[in-house]
Amino acid sequence: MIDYRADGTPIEILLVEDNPGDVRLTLEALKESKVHNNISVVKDGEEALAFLRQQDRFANSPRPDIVLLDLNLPKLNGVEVLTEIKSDPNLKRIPVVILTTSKDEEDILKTYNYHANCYVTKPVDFDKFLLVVKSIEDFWLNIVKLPHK
Amino acid sequence: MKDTAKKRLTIGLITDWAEDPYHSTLRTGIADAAEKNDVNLICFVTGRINPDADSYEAQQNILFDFVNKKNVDGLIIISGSVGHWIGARELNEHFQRYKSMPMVSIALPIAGTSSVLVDNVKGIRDLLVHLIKDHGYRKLAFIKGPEQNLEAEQRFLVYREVLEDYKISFDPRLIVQGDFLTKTGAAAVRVLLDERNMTPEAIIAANDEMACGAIMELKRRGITVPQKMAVAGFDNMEMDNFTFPTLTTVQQPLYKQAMLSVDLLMGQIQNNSETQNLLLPTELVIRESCGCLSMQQDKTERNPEAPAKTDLPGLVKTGMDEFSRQLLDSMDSFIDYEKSSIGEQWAEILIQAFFTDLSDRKANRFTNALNEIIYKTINSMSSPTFWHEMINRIRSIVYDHISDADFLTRAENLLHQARTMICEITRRNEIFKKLEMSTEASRLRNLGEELLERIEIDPLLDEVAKELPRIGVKSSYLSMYKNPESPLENSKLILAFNEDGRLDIDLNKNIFPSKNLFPDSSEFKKRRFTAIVETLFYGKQPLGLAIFEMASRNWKIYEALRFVMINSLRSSLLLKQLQDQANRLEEEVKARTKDLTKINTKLEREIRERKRTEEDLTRSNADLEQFAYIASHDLQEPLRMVSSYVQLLERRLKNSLDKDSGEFMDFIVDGAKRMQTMISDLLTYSRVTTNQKQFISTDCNQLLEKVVTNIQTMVAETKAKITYSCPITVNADPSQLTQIFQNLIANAVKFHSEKEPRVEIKGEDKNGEWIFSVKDNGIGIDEKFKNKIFVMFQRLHTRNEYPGTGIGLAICKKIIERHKGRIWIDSKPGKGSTFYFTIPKTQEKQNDRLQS
Repeated sequence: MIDYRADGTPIEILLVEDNPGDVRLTLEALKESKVHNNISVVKDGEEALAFLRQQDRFANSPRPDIVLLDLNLPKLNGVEVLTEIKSDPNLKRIPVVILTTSKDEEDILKTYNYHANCYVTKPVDFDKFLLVVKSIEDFWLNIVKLPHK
Repeated sequence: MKDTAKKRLTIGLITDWAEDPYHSTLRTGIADAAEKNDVNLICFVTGRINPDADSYEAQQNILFDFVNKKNVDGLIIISGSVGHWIGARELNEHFQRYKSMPMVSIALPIAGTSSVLVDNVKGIRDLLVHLIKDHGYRKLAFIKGPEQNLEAEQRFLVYREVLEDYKISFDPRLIVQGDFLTKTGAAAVRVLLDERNMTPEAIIAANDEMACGAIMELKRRGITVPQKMAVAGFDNMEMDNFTFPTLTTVQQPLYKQAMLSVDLLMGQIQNNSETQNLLLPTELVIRESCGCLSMQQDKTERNPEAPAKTDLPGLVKTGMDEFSRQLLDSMDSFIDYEKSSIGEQWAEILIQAFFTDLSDRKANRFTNALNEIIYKTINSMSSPTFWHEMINRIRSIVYDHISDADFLTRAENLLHQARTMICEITRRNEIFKKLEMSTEASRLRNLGEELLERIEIDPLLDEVAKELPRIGVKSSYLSMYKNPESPLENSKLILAFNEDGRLDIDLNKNIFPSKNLFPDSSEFKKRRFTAIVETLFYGKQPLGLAIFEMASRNWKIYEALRFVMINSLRSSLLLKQLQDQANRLEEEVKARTKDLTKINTKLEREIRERKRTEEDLTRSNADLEQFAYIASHDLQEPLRMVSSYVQLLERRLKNSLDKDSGEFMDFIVDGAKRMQTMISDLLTYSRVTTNQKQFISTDCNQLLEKVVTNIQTMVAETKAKITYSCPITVNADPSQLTQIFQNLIANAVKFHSEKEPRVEIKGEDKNGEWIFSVKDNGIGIDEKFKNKIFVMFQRLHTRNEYPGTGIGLAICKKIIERHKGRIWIDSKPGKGSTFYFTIPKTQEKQNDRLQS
């Protein structure tokens, strides 16, 4: 496992996902990742913001290096969470990767309007999902899949 | 009406409504006799039999059918006038229809019926003898009556006989055909004098009217009557006294004829008397036109049978009774004329007064008595002839009995006074009559005007009910035939009135059999009546019957009334007809409008329903699309779980799995992947409308360039050659248009045959729309699948042959429909296909309500 950090600390990843299947799948995929990472999982948009702002029970949470944000979330949805993040001066620099089942370009555009850093469609094929995780690694290596068009 | 014990008898009179004195006198006589006998009288104004089909008489003839045993017990027929146009045989035939009824004919004999005829022979013989013997005329012209008229024919025969008797040769040039009318008398003079150059000494006409016509024509020519040419007539009508000169004629005993006919009829009805044929003598009435000056006629020739002359005392001694009997006898042919009103004592009273005055100069009894008698009779007196004749008779008697010059002078004076008085009374009476007539005329005119003002039928009838009693109609019943096509069936009473005004008509009882003439409820049944039945008609359309109860003996008004009634009713009926028509039309329009309104309402409802359905449909479509979108979106989630975890499992157990398990897992993954593709396609399909964009001006060549770039990989793989020529700019959703081309071109390339795929795309302006074609040289499709290919997930091939879900064309179709265009295919298997689609040039602004 490659440690990208000079200090050797793992990359802090926040996964905002309400679907336990996807959570597990993401965790499994990340397990196979070469990048040393530490994943925190929250189940909805409110928790995500609380985590990011280190409020309440998340007071001792680490500041994530990257946020994997599902669009379909209970309470606050992904777009709302993204809006909050990108309008918060303390948070707006955290890269956000949108995870969604929808290929809808409209969604992509909307997301980009809110300054999402990356957009990733959750594939049906696990192999492809691994590629997604790989692409997150790539992102980390500054290769970002931008929406076409 | 068999129950004669309880019911009053009714006699019928069949007459033509000629307004001449001949008819008036006969009708008055019959009406008087009916009154005397206490029987009802109904006058049927039938007109003359067999008239010109176009004349109104043809309409009046209908009344012959209304005469029956139900309404009359016996009939009097003035056959001389109703049989005017027909011969004896036809007359007999015509009246066969009433043969079961007692009948009396006046003037002409009818086979099997009683008759009261006038001895034409005696009267005309006396006249001719007078002209030949007394005046010495030899050239006697004769104006004949109507050819078929029996009386006229008879008069002519007598003429020939008398000529023969006096050995005067018959000259046909002196005979002229006339028809009883005044104008034919004048025409006859023209024929005689102008055409035939004849100069007769005397003209004898078969009736008075023609004689008057002849006198007028002669006067016009400056030929004085009787100095240059004598004229004589036949009938003795009222006007004869007022012609200049007064007309010498033959008097028919009309009143007596009328009275006798009623007597005969009553005998037959009540006592079943045998039929009788009575012949009444006619009397020569000598006036001025023959050459005699009758008023001053000096009876030079003494009656050879008269007793020797005596002086007044002797005359008185011979006895009043005998003298008055002599006067009565000599006045026999006139006597019944006034009998009913002055009684039989009149002659005795008059002679008594005359002799008293002769012996006592200051008594003045005669003129007073005469005055009293005349005034008693004045109202029923239709001719002053009677009194003038009476004076003449008295004078004759006086001259026969008195030789004393003194007494003669005194008698002459008395008679002169009487004549003067008669003339004066007559004159006054004439003036009075004229006044009365003009009053009646003006009343009639007023009535006509009043009626004309009321064109609505009901106010018209109100007016009739108000006005008619004023002009001598006591009561009246007006009824209309229910069915003018068969007048004899039923009639509907529309008006009934008496002196008290209009009677309420019981609507339940106002329909009655036409042949009854009036409803059973009629007031006529309650009292004796004299009525006239007139037919109402206009043109050839029978309308109904009018029955007038007569109060006045001025017969003229009834005929005038009929015309007034017909005219008013006609306009009212026309109006009613028009109104009915208008109403019918209005109702029709109403009905149509109602229908239309109904249809409209239905249509509106349908439109509303359709709109609602459309809205519902649109909504449900939108819902459905939204649902499809969400469903396919959410469906992906579990699908991803299945395939991802199977793959994860496969990955982790790679080495410990047997061959079968690996294959099974592959099937699971493959199925999930296919399903995901389909869901994804479904999403695309639903997005055609859920995620639509505005139409914008789109350059097609530019667009195609991009499309070709997009599918570059595929093109390269298949070595396809794609050419395009779309130098047009259309109004469309560019991304969707891109999708169409992409799908069509992809298909064209995909379904290639062994040949290298060639795809040719064209776009042009044709018939007001943009038409695009994508032509390939591929495998083509069978005719029967042409429509199927546009259905979602419809595939003609297995996935192994050609991959794909079969959504491409369905999406194309949906996009084109959104653009209001059409898509179709022209293809032959093995020869390639050409897909066509159109986009209208003028795109309506798209409704974006479906945009989510």
